Amino acid sequence: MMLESVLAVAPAEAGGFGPRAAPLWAGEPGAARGSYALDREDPGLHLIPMGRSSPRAWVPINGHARRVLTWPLIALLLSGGLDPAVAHDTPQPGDPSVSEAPHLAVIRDAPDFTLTDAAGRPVQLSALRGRVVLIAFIYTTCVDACPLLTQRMVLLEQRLQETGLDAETVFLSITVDPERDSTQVLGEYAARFRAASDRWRFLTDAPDRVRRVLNAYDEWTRQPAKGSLDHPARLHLVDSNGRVREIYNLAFFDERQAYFDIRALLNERS
Amino acid sequence: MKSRLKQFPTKLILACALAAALPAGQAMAETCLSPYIKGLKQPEKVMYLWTLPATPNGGPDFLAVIDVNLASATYGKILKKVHVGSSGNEAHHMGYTDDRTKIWAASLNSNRFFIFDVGADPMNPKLIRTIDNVAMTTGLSGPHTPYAIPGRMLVSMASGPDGSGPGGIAEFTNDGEFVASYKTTNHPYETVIKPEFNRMITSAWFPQKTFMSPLDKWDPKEWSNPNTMQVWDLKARKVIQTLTGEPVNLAARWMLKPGARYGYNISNGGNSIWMFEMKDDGTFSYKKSAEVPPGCGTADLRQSPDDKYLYVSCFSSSEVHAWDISDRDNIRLHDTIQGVVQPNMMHLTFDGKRLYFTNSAISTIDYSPRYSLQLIQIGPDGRMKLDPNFKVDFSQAPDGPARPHDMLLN
Repeated sequence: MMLESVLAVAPAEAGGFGPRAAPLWAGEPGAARGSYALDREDPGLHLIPMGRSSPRAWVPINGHARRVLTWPLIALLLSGGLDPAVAHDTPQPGDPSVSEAPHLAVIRDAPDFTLTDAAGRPVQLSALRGRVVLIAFIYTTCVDACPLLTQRMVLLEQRLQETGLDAETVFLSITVDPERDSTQVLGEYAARFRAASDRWRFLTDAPDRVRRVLNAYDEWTRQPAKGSLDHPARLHLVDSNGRVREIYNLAFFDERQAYFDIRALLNERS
Repeated sequence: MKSRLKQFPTKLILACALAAALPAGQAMAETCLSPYIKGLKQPEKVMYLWTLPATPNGGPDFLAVIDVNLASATYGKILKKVHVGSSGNEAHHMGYTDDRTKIWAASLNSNRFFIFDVGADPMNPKLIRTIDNVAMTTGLSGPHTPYAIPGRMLVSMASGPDGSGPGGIAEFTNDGEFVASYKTTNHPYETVIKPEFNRMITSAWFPQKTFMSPLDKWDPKEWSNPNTMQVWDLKARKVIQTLTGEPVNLAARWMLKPGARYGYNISNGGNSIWMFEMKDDGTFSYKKSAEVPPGCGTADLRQSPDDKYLYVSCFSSSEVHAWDISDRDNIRLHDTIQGVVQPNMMHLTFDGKRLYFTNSAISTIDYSPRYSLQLIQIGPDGRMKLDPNFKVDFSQAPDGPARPHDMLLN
């Protein structure tokens, strides 16, 4: 087998290398370069279907749903939530968009921490050994991706409860904005989602203590615009031995897959 | 808990969500990066260009930092070179981590990774870690393209630990800690992922022993299935299907439209463009979409943010093509730039208007020493014009000529 196009390289350079005599199209280059401000658009401001069997299930790409998730929608989300029937359907046999036998390599030991939950109680990660822990990073003034993520976690919690796995699983939602997210604020946020329980804790603490945890999980924050925070928005799945076994991107978080991942980690114990 | 979930106003919420979402239309996007990477949403200010000296004693490989901010007084100039402290690495491809704070630069020849911090000060990248002995760590050699997944990097590795035989995919944390290796039956070139479908595709080329040898020493008998693409169950990290086409399937691109289940790749050996498409059961069809003009030598493939055009660099015929893919089953050559020299890697801006390209492939196959970085302006009609005002000449550098290859923008 000969690779004609690789091997038969040009014997000599063809043509000149300098700038072309022909001008650029009308208005260029000023028009093209000068139109940047008008052309700035966030990528991925659309929703995409999740899987063959879930034509009605949608998730924002890259977490930038700001334009499509209007305030009325946010209000609706906060007032209630997504019903499982209209979010990600339960995967059908053979659904390729999820894997019921995930490969979950040991990524690293999960850095230990102690933070304070919305009820003022200390929560230490290492004290949760024996259970699978899902750690999410959120902030309560986030108006797009965070509420959707919390809704997906509500659905995941329900699925775990339906299958009797909820007692073996803990969710920790850690604020990346400890200056604004006090225990009281987090408590109110959790209540809006009816999410606060012993199995789902919303955590904050003194800013320097929270920052140490954020740094340990490579969860930096930046403030690109007043009131908003930019952060990597990952979720970490920690096994019963305190090891990170999966990291999710918030924008692509699929609670159906997370369920299978948790189930796989719980099955490892038996 | 069940009772509380029953209280949710379900259908109304979904209807509102979809009504709000669907009119969003096609958006601009920084293409040809992992979908997990935070995309650039504004005009580029700086380019990072992974470069190797073109002479045997030319010094260490380096990351060239180039001003691409049109408003800057130093527009089009190399601002600095961040040397990696070793030579002979064969600088080749790079990739951002998912949070865009680090760049992984791979070395085809020395089996090293160089990790640069670009988060603290994007104009001043810092080499923060060099990972040696990757072949020993992973059991794989010839690292080609680092590709971001959440918190980690997947790297397509061309061959086994001694530079021959099939390769695989290596997984590391963003900081450079080894996680796992996954072997394949070919020589992985590039990885592309569609997260919502749980599918990853890897293309294939040659083992390290081949591509680091002089061209007249290349022996096809040493190649394992270079005419294949492999489809993975991403979550299972398992190859579930092998697609057979023409030899050396280099770059591959998924389409970006919501719900699009198909994409294209180039075959260098076949001088052709192929289309892959996922069926309902998660398996793929694979067919040739077009023959490119004879003698092209397809080298790189880029896509416009609106899924209307593919850009193909022709290393051998010294052309850059724009292919109109509006009719996905009848793609056609839309425009051609001629008169450039051995174009190879390309990088399109988020707005689809500027296509940068370099012209060194590998030190073993370059045929012209006229190394440069140039720019093609793309008009609203998809027509291309070589920009006469932008050219970074790497053949005449004071510290010696150098071969520019892969680019990233920030």
